[in-house]
Amino acid sequence: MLKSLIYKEWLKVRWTFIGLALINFFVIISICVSLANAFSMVDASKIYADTAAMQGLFYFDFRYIPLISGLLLGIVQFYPEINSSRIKLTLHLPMKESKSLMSMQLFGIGALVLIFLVDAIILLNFSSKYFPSEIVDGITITILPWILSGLVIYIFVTIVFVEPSWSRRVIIGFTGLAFVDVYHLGTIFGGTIYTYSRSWWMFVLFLFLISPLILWSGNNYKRGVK
Amino acid sequence: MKKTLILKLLLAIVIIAMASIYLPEFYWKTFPHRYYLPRVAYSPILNDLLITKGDFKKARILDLNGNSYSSKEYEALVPQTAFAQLVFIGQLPDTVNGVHFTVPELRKNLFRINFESAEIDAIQFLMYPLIESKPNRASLSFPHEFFCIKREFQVVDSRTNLVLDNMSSRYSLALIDRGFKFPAKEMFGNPTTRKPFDEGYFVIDNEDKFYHIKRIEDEPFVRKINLPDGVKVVHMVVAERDLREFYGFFVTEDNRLFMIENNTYNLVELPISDYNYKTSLLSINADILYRRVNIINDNKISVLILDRNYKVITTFKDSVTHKDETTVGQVASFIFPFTLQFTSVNSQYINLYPSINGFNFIIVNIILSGLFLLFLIIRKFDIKSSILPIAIILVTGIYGVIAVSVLRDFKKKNSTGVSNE
Repeated sequence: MLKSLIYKEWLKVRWTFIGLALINFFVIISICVSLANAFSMVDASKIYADTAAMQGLFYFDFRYIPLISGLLLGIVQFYPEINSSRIKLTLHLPMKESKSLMSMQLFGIGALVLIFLVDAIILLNFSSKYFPSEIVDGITITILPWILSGLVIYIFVTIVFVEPSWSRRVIIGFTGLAFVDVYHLGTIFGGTIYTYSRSWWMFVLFLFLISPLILWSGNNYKRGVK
Repeated sequence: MKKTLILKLLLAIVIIAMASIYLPEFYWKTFPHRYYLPRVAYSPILNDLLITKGDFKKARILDLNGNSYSSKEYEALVPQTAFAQLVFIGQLPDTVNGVHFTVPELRKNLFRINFESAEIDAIQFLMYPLIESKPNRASLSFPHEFFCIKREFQVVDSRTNLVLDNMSSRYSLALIDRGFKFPAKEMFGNPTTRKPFDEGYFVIDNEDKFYHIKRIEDEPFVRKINLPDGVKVVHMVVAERDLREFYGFFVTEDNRLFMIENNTYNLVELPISDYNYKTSLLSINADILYRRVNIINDNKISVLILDRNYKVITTFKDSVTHKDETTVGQVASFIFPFTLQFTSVNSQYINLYPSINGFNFIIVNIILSGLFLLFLIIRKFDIKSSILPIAIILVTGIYGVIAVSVLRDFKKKNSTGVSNE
């Protein structure tokens, strides 16, 4: 049963998934190429100085890519379920609703994690060719919250879509926007630079706190349609 | 049943947390607290303080006897800082208090050094350029070698991304030779070549001892700085200035301020008070005649005027209305039970910074829960089964109202647990 459910999800999102993966890899590879070009054209010490001071981040183009990916995947995966109430069928499968909802969400999270993991591996591996581990660690801690924000927005999209009541959707939607914002406090142009290096684990933990909330939405949906 | 309770609580926590970040932020953005601390200058002509009060549109310049001055009169009274304007109108005095005034000398002596709490609890550079302090060129040049002091002094060549073993061990040995304990806790310096000369880095080792490290003609220069007993350096501002009076200033764990004299490494303590390195803003404003130390704690300012030998001439203290004491602040203390922030003005580290402003909010919380109870009674909901939302509003006030409006966890009397969808 679980297998067929996952297959159904795959059929639904496969083209989006492939498209998003391509966009992600394109951005990452373009960042890597720019970095290689910079090292061949500019004095290496200048690039070191900028990156070591956590300013003028060469990988800044990546910042909103996870966010956009999470948003799009969430919409593509869950909009058809809500449109013409197809989710009713999912919730009537011979399987606990909580299990089917969680597996749908986990499927999406898994797909995103897969893309982001490849992103991170390419970027960090490529960076470590040019930079010592101290600087690569700095890059890791900077892109981690960006990547997490992609998962956060995905989770909130799933919650909002499954939730039947519009007034609740609005408040949860705003809460989601606020939640995404706390993953993007790091770099503010023209202002102080903040770092997640002391609290990144907290922001990973938050994912586990918000992920099960889809069950609450599912519960509302079930009671709403009954 | 238990599972839904956990879900409800989780959702309430998420909504309340977000509301407690963004509602107060929005409130203070809408009703900003503008305040102007007095600005203080010392006039060598009056031999007294001049205080500028009010905002920039309606500034009033007063002396301590209450006489007010126009800005033109003011400039003539503080020639040591307003010299540019005085030269422009041809009224710069030749000597003031026996000190000869020439524009290059005045310029050389005019500077400001800041200690901001957010820069003290700040992001460290990941690696530092190892700048040559005695280049055989007219100006400093940016090096290819970058270093960090962890288990050893590690130098990396930025062109190849390889550790330079020979150089690393030479520097490590030079440090070990002077009793340095790895790894370094913190380093201070100006990793730039946009300065007249380079003084390298000042480093706190793992046992809180203080070292000066430079690269001179490609050889390590290491000097241990003798600190008074029990003094732990918290932050240093290294200032490579043509004046060459000092290497810089540092503040300590017990909130003292020291200057390290150039060449001799003598420590000169500046007798400051009311300073807390975790929250205050300290600035040293220097001119050819005086050193003025400003210490700002929120709404309070404390000023210390020192002569060039760092002896106190006079002090000044004043305060303006605190943000929380204004009407807007009072209203906020009633509406918002607490405020959550992920960033702080005193740190560059993102973390949870919760704050509570008094207990006025209890009144509003009780009123809100009362209104909610009234709503339940009027709409004929079962009160016994609505304990959770009542408790949420009672504890978290206005934030709780938002959470409860999403939860809608109330049931009709005698119903079978179906909510009012």
